[in-house]
Amino acid sequence: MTSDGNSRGQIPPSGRREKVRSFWGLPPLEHKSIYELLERSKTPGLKDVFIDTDTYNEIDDQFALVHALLADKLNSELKVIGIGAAPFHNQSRDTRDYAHGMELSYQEIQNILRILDCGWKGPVYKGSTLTIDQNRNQPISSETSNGLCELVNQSYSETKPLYVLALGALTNIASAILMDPSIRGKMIVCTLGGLAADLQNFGEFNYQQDPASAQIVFASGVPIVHFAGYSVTDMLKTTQWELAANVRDKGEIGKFLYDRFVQYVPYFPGKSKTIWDFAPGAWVINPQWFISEVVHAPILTDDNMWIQYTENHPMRSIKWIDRDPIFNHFFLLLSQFTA
Amino acid sequence: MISQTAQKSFDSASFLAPALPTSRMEKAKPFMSLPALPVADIYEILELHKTQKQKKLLIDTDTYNEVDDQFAIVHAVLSHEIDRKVDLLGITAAPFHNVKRATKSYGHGMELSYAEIKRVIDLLDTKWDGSISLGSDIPFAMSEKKYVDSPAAREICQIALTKCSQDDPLYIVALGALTNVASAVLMEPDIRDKVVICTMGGLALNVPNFNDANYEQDMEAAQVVFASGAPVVHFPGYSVTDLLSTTRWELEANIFGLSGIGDFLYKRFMEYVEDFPGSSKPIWDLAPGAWVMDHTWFVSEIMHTPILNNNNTWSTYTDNHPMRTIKWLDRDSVFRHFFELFHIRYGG
Repeated sequence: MTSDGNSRGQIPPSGRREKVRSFWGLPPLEHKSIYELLERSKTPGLKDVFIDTDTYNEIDDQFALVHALLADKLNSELKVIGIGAAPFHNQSRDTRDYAHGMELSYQEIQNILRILDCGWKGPVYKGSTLTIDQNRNQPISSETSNGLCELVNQSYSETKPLYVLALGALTNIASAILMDPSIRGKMIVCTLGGLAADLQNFGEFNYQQDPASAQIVFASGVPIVHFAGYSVTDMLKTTQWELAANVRDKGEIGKFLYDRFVQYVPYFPGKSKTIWDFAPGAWVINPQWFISEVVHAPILTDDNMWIQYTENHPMRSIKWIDRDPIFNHFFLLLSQFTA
Repeated sequence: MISQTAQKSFDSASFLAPALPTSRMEKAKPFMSLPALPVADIYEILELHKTQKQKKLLIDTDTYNEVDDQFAIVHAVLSHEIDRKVDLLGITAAPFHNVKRATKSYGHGMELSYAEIKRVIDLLDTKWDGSISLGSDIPFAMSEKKYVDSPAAREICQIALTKCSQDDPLYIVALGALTNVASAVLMEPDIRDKVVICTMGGLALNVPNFNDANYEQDMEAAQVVFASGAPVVHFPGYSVTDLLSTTRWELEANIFGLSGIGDFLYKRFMEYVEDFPGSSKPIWDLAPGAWVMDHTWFVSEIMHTPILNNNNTWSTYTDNHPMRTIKWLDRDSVFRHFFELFHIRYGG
């Protein structure tokens, strides 16, 4: 028998425990207003997006960036408001530190804008030069985190939120949230990274780059659409063969993307590569390509695992992706643009 | 109502609260009313593949229903001949009835599958000489008996009882409706601890948003397999085995032009799959055979076998006997193995 709790022993103690530091200690938000934004994210209509990308870390951000810019230019399916460079540090890219990764990403964004030459005129911001982990959980002021706060406060609201496509570590976004918690009610963070809640068997890059920033975003109450890596977004695979047939000969940008792919992906028979970063932008363009579930936001541990936490605020989690319409959409935009 | 035992154990607890009925319900007809099996044995058989070198294999396939069974047969025969990860003992034809294939009946679908198996084996130009059997010509619902007798069901029983054991079971790769396999289980319940039924079909437990043809073709048969206690490895369709997608481009680069069988598989794919930029097609049926060949390409989970409902959804049932369900697979390793075997045998 438990001895604490009710001293008369007639009502057993329930052992119930309230969540420690809900909303990361930021002012609390109403769950229903978070839920409302999560539902809004599923409705069709033109959406404004900000893309935060560790572009040079890998070769999928490049595809995502081109996809979003072309969907903006040719179909007006979304509107790209700004682009921010996210920090990364990765042996396979020979970076010296996070700042170096961010600089390389910034250059890669400029590279793509120059090669694509689609007339897009929005701002491109430099991002954080270190991680929130390195900064002892304090926000890091950068062009991106400042720019994001400014954009959201100037032009967005609960009824017209800004969609943030977060394709790398969440340093810039978590910083913006800590710098101005009021932006939480005016944006939706579509974050690519981490594990699926029911499949812990993988390593993962984005959240492990800056665990604190990911913990902040998931705890903060900002509406989240979560795109897990393995078993969810790894549906978005392609091969050099498919790209040779659909991308390589599509202008200078097609050749650039194809070359990035074959340089990065070692070849063996049966080799494919996931274009993970397609997912968040595709969701904004057409949520019907996805199956998702609203769950109580789980707690992200220091080692990138999830703890279920019933009654925590809601978030949307992607369960399945219809690959073919997304690649079809991208290939057709590319053909149309380079015809 | 509350049973005497439950009432008693509840009363003996040291709570002062009034005793309430627990509403606990025992599973109706455990093991389909077949003789009970020790669940520890089932668990043990579900773990066996991790230490076995070579596995005995039988493929039950609705080959002509689609275009992926053909790949699975080729994969198994090539592994049997080249790297001996499997010892392929037989292939049986499963019934199907599908407007898309203009079948007149389940029996017609089975006959077409039988002919397609023969075609694939001929084109493979192989020395493999295992058995090829005709299967059920009706699903359970149309049968007057509790099962459907067929050469396939008899062959499965025969192989399991004479060549297999609890330590060296027959891995039945079931790629279509489960009519033949369920019939074998009901005809000879003794085979249950001498087989591992690797069944492709149905939904993942956490993503019920899809249709699935395999189990819906013969729901009763599927229900028998999951409830019977025979060890089951479950390969759901969408969100799991759809990771095994390929494209005409990848097939052109890897098998087209390589002998009759390469051209045949490519042709089947092209006939069946709509061509548009970005089109791909899952080769679902590669999954169970690939798991038998090398389980490290997969992530799986042992769970209490859920109950398969008539509408092809699952009800979880804690304390039911264990089964293994596949959660994720490494697509590239599967295709790499398939293509490399293909290249060893046919060049390229």
